[in-house]
Parts: sequence; C-alpha cells; structure tokens
Amino acid sequence: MELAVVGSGTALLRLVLAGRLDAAGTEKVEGRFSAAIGNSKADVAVDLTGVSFVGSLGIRMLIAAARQADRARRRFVIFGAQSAVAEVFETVSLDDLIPVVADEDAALARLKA
Amino acid sequence: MTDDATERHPPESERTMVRRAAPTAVEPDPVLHVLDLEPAEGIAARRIGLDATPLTIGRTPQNGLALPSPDVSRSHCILALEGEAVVVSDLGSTNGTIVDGRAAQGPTRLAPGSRLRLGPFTLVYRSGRASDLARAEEVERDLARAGRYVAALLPPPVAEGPVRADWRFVPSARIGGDGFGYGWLDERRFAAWLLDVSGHGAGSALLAASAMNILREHSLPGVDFADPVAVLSAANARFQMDRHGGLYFSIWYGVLDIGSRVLTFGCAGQHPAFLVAPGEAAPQPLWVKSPAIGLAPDWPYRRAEVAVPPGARLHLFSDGAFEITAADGAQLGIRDFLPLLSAPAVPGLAEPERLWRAVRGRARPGPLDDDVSLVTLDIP
Repeated sequence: MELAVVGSGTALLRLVLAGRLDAAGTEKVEGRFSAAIGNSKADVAVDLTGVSFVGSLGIRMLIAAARQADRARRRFVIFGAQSAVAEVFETVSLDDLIPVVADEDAALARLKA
Repeated sequence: MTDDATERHPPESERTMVRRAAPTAVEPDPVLHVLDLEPAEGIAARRIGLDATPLTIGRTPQNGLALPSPDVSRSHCILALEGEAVVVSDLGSTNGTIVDGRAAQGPTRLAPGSRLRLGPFTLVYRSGRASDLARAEEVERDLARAGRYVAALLPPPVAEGPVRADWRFVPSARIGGDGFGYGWLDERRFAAWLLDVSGHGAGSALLAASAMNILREHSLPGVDFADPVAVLSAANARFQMDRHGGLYFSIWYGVLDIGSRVLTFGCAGQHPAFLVAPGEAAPQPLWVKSPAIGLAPDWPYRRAEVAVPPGARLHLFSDGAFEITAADGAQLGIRDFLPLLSAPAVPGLAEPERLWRAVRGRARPGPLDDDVSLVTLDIP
C-alpha cells in the first residue's frame, strides 16, 4: 500500500493511494494519511485510481479523514474508484456519508462548487 | 455507576513506584526457528522446531517430517539453518516446493511468516526469541478463546416447524467479528440477522459479542424487535463508532411473518441477503442502501418487504464467504459466489456445509483471511 502526498501547502491537497486498502494496507498508511490532512490548510482530494480493494478499516480511514477535514472547515472529495471498489462503496453507502465522484475533473468541479 | 472511577485508584505516578525491579540475572532467551504445520488431510496442526540438523520432508517415514499424501514426493525438500537464516531446497520433487506462492528454484531463504506449500500441506516459518514466540502463541490461544465465545452465542439449528434454520461458522485465526442469530419473536414472527464488525481481532469479537447479546436477548428498551427500522435505529444510537473504540458493524436484519408470508427487512452497510424461490433461476437480492451501524448518528434507516413463496430458501452470509483469494491468486467477489446458491443440493450434506465446502474448495490452501458465516433458512 502506497500513499503519495501532492500539493501540500497549495490550495489543493491531493492524497494518492495505490494498492490494497485492506487491514494491513490501512495500518501502513493511516497515520501519514491523517497527518497529511492535519498539516495542511487546503481542501482534500483523495485519488483512488490505483486502489484495487477497500476493506472495512479502509472505509473507516476515509470516513475519519472526511470528518477531520470537515472539522477544519475544509472540503473533501474521493475520486477514481475502480469498479470493484465502487461496488463496495455502494454496499456500504459511502456516498451518503462523504462526497464520492467518478474522476479528477468531477472532483475539482465538486471542490469549486 | 455515577461515581468517578478514577478516584478509586492511585494516580499512575504512584502505581509505578511499586513495580518490581528488573531481575539481575539474565534468563537465557535463545532465538528459535519453528515450522507451524497447518491442519490438512486428516493431519493435525503441530509445531516442528528446527535445529543444527537439517530437516528432510517427504512422504515416507524416514524423513524428519513425514507428510503422507500422493502429492508429496518421497524426498520432497530439505531445510537447513545457515547462520541465523533458514534455507529450503527442493529435492527434485514432482510438484515442487512452493514458497509464498512461487516454486523454489535452488536454495531459497525463508522470511519470518513465509508459507511453504508441499502438495496439500502448508507450513508457516516463524523465528524469534523463545519468549516472543510464547507470547504470540498465547495471543493466538486468546483469539481462539474469543472465537469460541462468539460461537457459544450462536443459536442451535432448527430442524422442524414452519422455519428451519441451519448454519456453518468458521472463524478465521485472527477473528473477523462475524455474528448471527435467529428465533421466534412470537407465534407468527421469526427474526434472523447477520452482522460483521469492522477489522479483526479481540476488539472486533468483543463488539460482535456485545451486539449479539443485545439482539439475542432483545435488550434494547422500548424497541419493537419485529420492526427492522426500529432495531437498526436503536443499535445505531447505542453503538456509535466514536464511543466504541472506532469500531462499527454492518448488519442485515429481517422478520418473517409466517401468516402473511411477508419478509420485512433492513440492511445497514451490508451486501444483500438472497432469496431462492423454487423454479427461479437467479437468487433474488434483498437489500436496502444505508450506512453501517455506528457511522452516522440519527441515520433514517428504511425497510423493504418481499413476499416469500412456498418452498423458498433465505441465505444470509458474511463477506468472508466471497472475498477470498483463489488458488491461482485471483481475488473473488460476490458474483463468483452467487451461482453456488442455485447449485443442486448434495445428498447427505446440509446446505450451509455444502456451501462451505464449495467456498473452501475455491480458496487457496491454508486458513481463510476472514470469518465465514453461512446461514440458511428454509420456509416450506
């Protein structure tokens, strides 16, 4: 599981995840993921294009991050879920809790709205 | 309890004063190398210690470890300690020595946790100080105890009457936090549910047991357990993640009225249950979109209804039954699992057992990553 933090200090913080966000993968990136949001003042876009699986702890990490951004009055959006991941998001109704959009353009539009 | 619990204990700084001093003599605590054989082909699990003498593994009794299976060669492989490392070499076996999914080409060094496959058998290599290995074993035993406690909360099968129920529960070594139950609410209405707590381990098992006890004993004050919305809403109010160690759970909850043959159900963050009706080719998904219990305070859960035809069968199962890795490394999903529900019965095998064997047969050898729960309700 990999996490790249792009644009810290700019108007948009991009968190790019790649790999399997299962229990072990989530444990590996959770601390840095939350710290990256805490250390920035920007709106947050999470890029899941490279993520092949999201388990229950991965869902929790995303929801906790969205809440963290919300508390700091910053906008938060997830984009790029592969079809298997999008199916999990549908099952757990994630889009009812945090903004989930198809791709980067939609994410940027959402943050500007 | 209203009094402040912290007042009954001295503060941390005072308690640390009475800790025992470290022993002056250092106990010997050597680094050990062991292989844990996982149970297969009627052979029980056991631990084999490795020492300076190389260990040969093969089908015949003259090997240091004999694994009786036609898929294991007479002399299959040899393990030797080289410095602080364990190295395995295949001895020209027919089916190969598979280390972490790859056939060993030449001497191959094992990393702690490496999985060695010989035919149907899996051996896991572990190394560490004797005290660390003992501690890890104790943790595993505790997890097994947690699994047995959850299993003790499960209802007995129901063989007679207007609803017949049976199940198969296979907790994973790390405990996945599955739980389920069913039973009559009154003379007409039968409730069934299946939940899955996020994460693994003792924490997930504790929350599963806590939620299971509330659902079993109907101990949510003022809640009508025949109303799935009331149950999900009350559970959601009781088990908010922020107050439960960051854990949450998904659940499917349904109530069948055997008079009207209407099944009313709700679902929180879980995949559907499936209804198989006689003569229907595809199982019917029973699902309502809403988040899991504990994620969103005051969520307005909804219910749905379905008519249950005579001879129908209702399947509840956990994601551990379909989120599995196949023998070829492919990640399977619910679409791979669903055809099993409509497959013909196997004479002499209970339906949950038939499904479990099919799941087990598709997964790669070795223990599964998550709990597997399979519940079948027959409604004649």
